[in-house]
Amino acid sequence: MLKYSLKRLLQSFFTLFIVVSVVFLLMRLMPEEGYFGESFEKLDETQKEAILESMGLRDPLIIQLKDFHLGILQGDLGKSIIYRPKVPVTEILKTKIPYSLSLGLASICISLFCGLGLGILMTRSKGKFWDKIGTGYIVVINAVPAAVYYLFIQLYATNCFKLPILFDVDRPTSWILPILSMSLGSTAGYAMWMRRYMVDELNKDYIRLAKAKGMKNKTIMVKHVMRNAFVPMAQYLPASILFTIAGSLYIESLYSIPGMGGLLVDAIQRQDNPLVQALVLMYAGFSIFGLFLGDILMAAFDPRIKLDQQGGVR
Amino acid sequence: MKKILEIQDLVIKFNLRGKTLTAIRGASLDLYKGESLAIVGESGSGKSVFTKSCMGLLDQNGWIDSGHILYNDFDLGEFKTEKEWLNIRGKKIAMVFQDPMTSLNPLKTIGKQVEEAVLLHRKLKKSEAKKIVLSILDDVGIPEPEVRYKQYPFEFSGGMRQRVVIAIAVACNPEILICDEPTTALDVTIQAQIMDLLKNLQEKYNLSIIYITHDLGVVAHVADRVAVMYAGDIVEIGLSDEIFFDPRHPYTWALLSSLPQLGIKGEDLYAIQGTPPNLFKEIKGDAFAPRNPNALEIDFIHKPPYFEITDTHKAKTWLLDPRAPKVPRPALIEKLILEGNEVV
Amino acid sequence: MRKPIQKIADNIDESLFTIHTFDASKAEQTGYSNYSYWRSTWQMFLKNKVAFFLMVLICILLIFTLIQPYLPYQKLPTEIYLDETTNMQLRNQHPSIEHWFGTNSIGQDLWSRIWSGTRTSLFIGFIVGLFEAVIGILIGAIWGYVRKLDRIITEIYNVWNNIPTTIILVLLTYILRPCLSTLIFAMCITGWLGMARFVRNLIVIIRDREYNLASRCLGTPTGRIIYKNLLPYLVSVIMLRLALAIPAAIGSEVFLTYIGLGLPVDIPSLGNLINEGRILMMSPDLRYQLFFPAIVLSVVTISFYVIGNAFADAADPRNHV
Repeated sequence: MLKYSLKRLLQSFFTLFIVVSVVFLLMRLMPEEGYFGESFEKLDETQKEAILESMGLRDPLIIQLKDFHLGILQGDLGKSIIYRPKVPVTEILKTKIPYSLSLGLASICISLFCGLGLGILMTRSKGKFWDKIGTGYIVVINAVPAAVYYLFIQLYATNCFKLPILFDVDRPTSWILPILSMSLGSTAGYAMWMRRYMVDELNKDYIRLAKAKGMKNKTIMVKHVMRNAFVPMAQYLPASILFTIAGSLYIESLYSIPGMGGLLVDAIQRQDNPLVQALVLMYAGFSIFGLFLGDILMAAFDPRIKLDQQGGVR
Repeated sequence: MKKILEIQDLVIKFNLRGKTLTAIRGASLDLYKGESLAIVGESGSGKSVFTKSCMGLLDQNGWIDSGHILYNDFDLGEFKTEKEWLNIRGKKIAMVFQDPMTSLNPLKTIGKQVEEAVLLHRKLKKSEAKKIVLSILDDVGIPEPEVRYKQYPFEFSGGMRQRVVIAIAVACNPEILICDEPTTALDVTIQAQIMDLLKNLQEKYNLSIIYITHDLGVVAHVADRVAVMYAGDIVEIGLSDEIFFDPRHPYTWALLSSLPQLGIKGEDLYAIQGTPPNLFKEIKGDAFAPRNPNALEIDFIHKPPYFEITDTHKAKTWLLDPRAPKVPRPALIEKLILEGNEVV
Repeated sequence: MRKPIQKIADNIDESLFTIHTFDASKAEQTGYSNYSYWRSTWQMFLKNKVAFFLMVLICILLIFTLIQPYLPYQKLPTEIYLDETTNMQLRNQHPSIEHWFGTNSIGQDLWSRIWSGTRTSLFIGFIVGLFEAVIGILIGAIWGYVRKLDRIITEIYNVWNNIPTTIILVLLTYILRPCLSTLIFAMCITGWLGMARFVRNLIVIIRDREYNLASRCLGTPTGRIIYKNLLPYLVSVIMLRLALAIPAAIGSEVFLTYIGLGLPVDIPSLGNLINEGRILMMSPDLRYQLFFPAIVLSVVTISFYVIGNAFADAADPRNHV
């Protein structure tokens, strides 16, 4: 187990290294006009050169890459060059992460509870009322783009329930709509997969044996089916939790939440390289390590899984 | 001997893709206390369906069309709710399934799974239940039960897993144990062990066992009585000796003839010509008639009733009617009976 | 001693007790199954009334979007309509006889814009979906089947997957002019990953099943095994992903428009229209500009989603009972 974990860990670091380097290079393919924004017209050549020099963009590519990686190893993620000039990237992240994190964690708790519960309810009433309602809900949430139903939630909830539109840390009621909107999608996801896995388990032989033993259907559901169905879902849980930091682009802009949501897009469009690189490092890291943790979690639940058969796609 | 289970003219149908399939066509069976009854027949003859209906484990698209399953003053064929079945399943009738590899929950220790069976039918404290579990595990021949209690199914071999499944069935303390091809998925050497185990358990726990199998060798080993099943009906039933040494139904002849025997190299093996009938269609007369070289004209028109040969032996064939011509047993069968007698 | 148990046996004609001449061919009359995979699939699909209804609806919708410009009384989607008397732009007009869905904030007819937008979005969805399917399946199948390439392609996948698509999109928008083909191209090269991984996972599972090992033993070439053994198994899941590709493409398009990387304003699309409507959402009498595109978008996405799922369920042989 230990040997396997070390091997996975090294593989993960390697992939991360490649991802970050590729992004580094891609960002440097961006046109140089992008670094200046509106002031592009007003500056002359020497001024532009000076600015680019100060951003470190005039050094040879290999040197830039080397400096960048050395910086990461020392914990230095650089200073933002455009978004908040001269401000260390870590400072920027520090102010924004708490918002996205707290909203995200709250949303995960709610969606796990509601989603798994809905999935179980749907399996129990398979083909009947709750199953149909649940399926309708899942269909709408999955089919219609989130951007669209977020809009409608904001529209009607603020008008009918008089919930505040703008997010304010100190007003608890202003937390409701963002968290609710965020939970809708995940709830549908958990419900759908839970139902699918549970129905799969119900068709298996050991359930027949449990029935033949004289177990009530309800008891079989709780003691055998639910627990077994949850195992494949455990794989994605750590990654989901980590990704709450990423925040939701739409929700944070709809409710003016100063979180991480639009940061990546903004940074890319403004060509703030250090910020983009730091964000990619973080998100890619979450994705890669999140799945690694997920595999370990799954192995903890399922004694059959020999970890050295895992790995592969991350 | 006391009769504990009586199945009368059972008809079971299934709904498949809109068409109705008659899996069991008026089969009858009696089970006496303390005996071992074997139901033999080829794949698709309806053996499993027949016994599953006694526990309410039919698939969702199947139903009992007519007939009765009389047990302890109940007609199990009339049961509709889960509650009614909970009084029967495990408690009175338990089942051992065919494939031990998939019959156990892979994520639970086997100790827990046997304990579940114990606690379902007895009110006990956990510690007492564990003691019972360990003694049952010992009974079924699992070495070091203390250690094995905490292990998971994937750590057991096929034969051991089947012992666990048997332990679970026995832990319920049933009156009737139905074993659906318990050794088909196991090695030949393990087969003998499992059959001996079941015999021992029968004595110890005072069980009445129904064996479902297509392996006549297994039958000869353990069964008191044998029922031969074909196309959803029981065509011949009698004591084990009567079936092997005095078979009367042409299908039984064919079945016994197809047992591979030690013989001269180059001799053809006997195989029954043709294939079982289509159960979607209504069958007129004797179902085995198209494949039977000794069939009478009447076999194609009227379904034969039971003809008694002795008090314990009866067969559904028109050959036993006094008006029928005397058809001798095939030479192969005569040879088998002779050899069997020599062994005895 | 033989005793007949039933008395009815006595009334039967004596002559029937003669041996029937054995006909070996009659013995071979087995039950035959007239099972046809596609027919069963279609029948199962039809049983799902909702899916069938939506399929009819989508067909009607599709035909309508294609013939709409040729119907009478239709306006042009990009023309700005002026009030005849004042010569001012007919801005934000409510639905009327002239403009069936009203006009937007610069005086364009909303009805024709919506149908033009639907055409564009559906077109994008189909093309991206098709590309995803072809390339995704191809690469996914090779990835899953050929063991030697597994490690390499997996590494490439891991890296590509973790590069934010936004970077690629922004770069492409700078290198190529922002227009319809750029958008489609960008969505294609980032979209195929999902399908490839999905196909790869399935193939890894069935690659080592006995029937495939048997084919390999017989010397069947790899391409033929993939095409004849593996892909038919995947048909149902592939159809599902194809049907889902269209709502997904529309969703991506909305996202891209939102962050400013979408289509230029002179090409209407559902994404554009939603964004235009979003700005005016809060004032009650302009809300119709959000409602109409949203309703059309919802109908389209939900229909494809339901149809896709229903077809996948119907195509699963385990459901053909």
